[in-house]
Amino acid sequence: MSLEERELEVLIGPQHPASGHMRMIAKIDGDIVVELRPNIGYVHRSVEKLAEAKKFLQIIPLVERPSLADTTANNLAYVMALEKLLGLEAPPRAQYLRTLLAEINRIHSHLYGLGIHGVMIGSSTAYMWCFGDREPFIELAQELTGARLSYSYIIPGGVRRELPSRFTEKVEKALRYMENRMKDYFNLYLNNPVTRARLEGVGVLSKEDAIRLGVAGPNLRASGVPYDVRKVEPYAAYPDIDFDIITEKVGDAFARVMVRVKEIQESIRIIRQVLKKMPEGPILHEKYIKAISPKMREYMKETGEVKFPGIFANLRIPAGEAISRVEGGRGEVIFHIISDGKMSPYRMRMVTPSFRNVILFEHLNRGVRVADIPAIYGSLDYFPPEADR
Amino acid sequence: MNFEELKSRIEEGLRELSAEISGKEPNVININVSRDKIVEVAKKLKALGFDHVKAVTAIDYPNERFEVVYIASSYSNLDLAFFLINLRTDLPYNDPTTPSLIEVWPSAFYQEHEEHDLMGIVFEGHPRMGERLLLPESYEGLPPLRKEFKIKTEGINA
Amino acid sequence: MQDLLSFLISLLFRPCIFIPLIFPGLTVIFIMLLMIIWLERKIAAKVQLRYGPLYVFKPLGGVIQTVADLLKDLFQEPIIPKTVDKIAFLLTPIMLFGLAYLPTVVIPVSPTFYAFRSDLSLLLLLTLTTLAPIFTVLMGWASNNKFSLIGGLREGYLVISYEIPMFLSALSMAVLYGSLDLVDIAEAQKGIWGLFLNPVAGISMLVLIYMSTGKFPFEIPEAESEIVAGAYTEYSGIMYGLVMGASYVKLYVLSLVYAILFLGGWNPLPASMMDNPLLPGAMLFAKAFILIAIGVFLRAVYPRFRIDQAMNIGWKMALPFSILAIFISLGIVTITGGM
Repeated sequence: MSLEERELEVLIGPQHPASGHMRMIAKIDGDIVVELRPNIGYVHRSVEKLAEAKKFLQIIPLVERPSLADTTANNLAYVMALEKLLGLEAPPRAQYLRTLLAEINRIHSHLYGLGIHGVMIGSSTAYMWCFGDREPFIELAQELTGARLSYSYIIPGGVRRELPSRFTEKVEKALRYMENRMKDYFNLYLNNPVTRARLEGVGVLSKEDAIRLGVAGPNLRASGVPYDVRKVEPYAAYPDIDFDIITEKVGDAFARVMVRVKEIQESIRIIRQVLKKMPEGPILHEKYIKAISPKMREYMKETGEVKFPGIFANLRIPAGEAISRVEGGRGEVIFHIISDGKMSPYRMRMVTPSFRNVILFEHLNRGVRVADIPAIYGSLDYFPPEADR
Repeated sequence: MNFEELKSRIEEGLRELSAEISGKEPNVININVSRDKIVEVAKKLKALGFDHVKAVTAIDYPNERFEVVYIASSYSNLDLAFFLINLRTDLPYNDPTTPSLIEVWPSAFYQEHEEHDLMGIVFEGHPRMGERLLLPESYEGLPPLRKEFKIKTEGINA
Repeated sequence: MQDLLSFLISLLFRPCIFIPLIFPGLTVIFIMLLMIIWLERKIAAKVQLRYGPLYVFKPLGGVIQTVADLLKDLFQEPIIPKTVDKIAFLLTPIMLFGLAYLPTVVIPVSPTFYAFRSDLSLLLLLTLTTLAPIFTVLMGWASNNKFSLIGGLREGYLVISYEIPMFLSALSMAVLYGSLDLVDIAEAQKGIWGLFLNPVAGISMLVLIYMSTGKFPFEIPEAESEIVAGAYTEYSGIMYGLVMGASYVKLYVLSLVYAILFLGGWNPLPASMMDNPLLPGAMLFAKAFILIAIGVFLRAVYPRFRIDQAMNIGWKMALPFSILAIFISLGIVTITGGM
């Protein structure tokens, strides 16, 4: 670099403590970022291509993998697309169980995002607290599904397991713990003057820009757009549930954090309603229950675990096209499946919220200070594997 | 606004643009259009309130055609947010180029880039054509999402 | 034999040897470093609902974890990248640590026990503490790494914004006591401590000490999530140990100064206990240690400021306050006619 050059090109990542699996190419003039280009693709695993070579049921764990902290959304969106093509709907109890898992997942996904953001602006306490407090919810999900993160709980026509015994009390205990912890979060982190100074007015995304750039999820709602798939195109048990769409007006990094914090509180409300209203009944579509041998049906009744009917092994999906969308923790997940009646999809398009938010890196990082890059990055709750798929 | 109302409104708006419009209940409206009309159609749709693109899907029908689907919807008008407009265009197999819609819908920027990277569709007017997005810079060969590109499978389902 | 031993002990207790080598010099610095890094991790762990270091000597809560880390650092391969300016790269950590340690020789341990006494000892001490940041800036340049460069520049910007108000705050105490001699200043606080006479100077100096040693929320020159490790990015092994230790040593020195200027130094020990340097020394050390502990505790409470916000604090808040502190001192001197 010669002395006459004013701009310095800094490569942030992929081996950088706060870059994640991506690279940001920043041009800086003094302490001001002139331009920032995200360079993604470091963890691309070609989910869309692999899906064309896998059977429909095998794709469920495949689509979950990329967004490890927020797997239920992908699982649910994919299965909803299949159900649209199959022309069947899961029984009501299965719909409630799906909602329950989706909201438990939303809480721990938001805590993950808040924690990473905390350590990016230097609060190791926020990071440790959030990651520690994810644990009760991961344990709950584990008890419900048998896995900590990649649940593969939702299958065409229903869910994989019945509600465990005394689950409601355990959930209530975890929810009350979280509500109490929320006060600590506000005292130490969210109302901390340094946190406020670092986040307020930083990375402001106006409502017009949020709409124009097609941003998804809490980042969109933080800019004052009350769009939430759970209200716009209600799925699972959401039509019966009473909840609010959380929005903030300002659109800065702090507003995005606050949307997540308030959505955790809203999820707590939803989970309580779900458990209260949970109807009795089967957890798998009767078409598939009939396909299971009587002996296995007996076993299912005893253990509450669904045994897959034989037709699942070579599930054929009728030819056609389906688009499904689900509001996950990080935002709207879209599945566009084109089937030609075979055992694998002809084309599967999977659009994750992180991929739709990549554009914000370029947009929000113009003219900010170098120290704002991680503050903005973290506030987007961007997850590189999810964007790369 | 219900489905039929919206469909007739779109038909009215696109009357002069020779677009084929078909609906799929409850919320999907397919608009087939030739690639030289696609920018105008997109502008009309934007004027109707469909302000962002949720997904861009490119589909490969080997030796026949490519199809590019823009799934557009609305954020600013929540009545329209329920509906998904599929703006589709067919491209000849030996010339997969189509005008880019990023001027109309900036939200398609990365999606178009990805389809260029993985499917080899050329979006004219997109500033990053020829650059890689998800694939490594050094990648050469067939775009991996094309049907000609076979992946090796192993195990019981191979 | 006996004679030799007692001779050696008496030699050890000569101020000009005791002060640089034992207290406040090398030996205590070394023990303090091992203790404070352990304590920092332990306090943060307590707040963050973790255990922290535990397994190295479990009965005492992993207290010698830092010794294990030091051993690891010692035997780690010191990697010197090809593109660095070798002389500057190797020399700066040593200079940094040496200069951080050097001011300890000026610090008196009791009214009668000091390596040397000067009318200008406060001034000398402050001057010595200002030398180290130059080497941090040099280090950022010598590493030939963009993150190091940014880190070095950040250090440079911070230095100019904290140094002036810090000096003014310290000198306002010199105005108050009418002396630049640290022994005189400590002795003048037999009654009321300086902190209570001039709290404005006390608070602004304390904040600036944490700022100058890169403690949270001012951990800006080495902000991990922004610029990897700032000027220290390219260092590994024992070289990294030195540069990291240097900032703790600086905190230790400045805390000792603070204890003498504002917390009465070795007071309130009665004069009869001043003969032996150990007791007043322990008193001084305890006060400084509390200040260090507060400094490392802040890590668990605050995120970090942005560089422009920290500079604003330096110029727009600390500077006016430190000027005000001088006027307060002048006022007290005028009213009481000198301490």
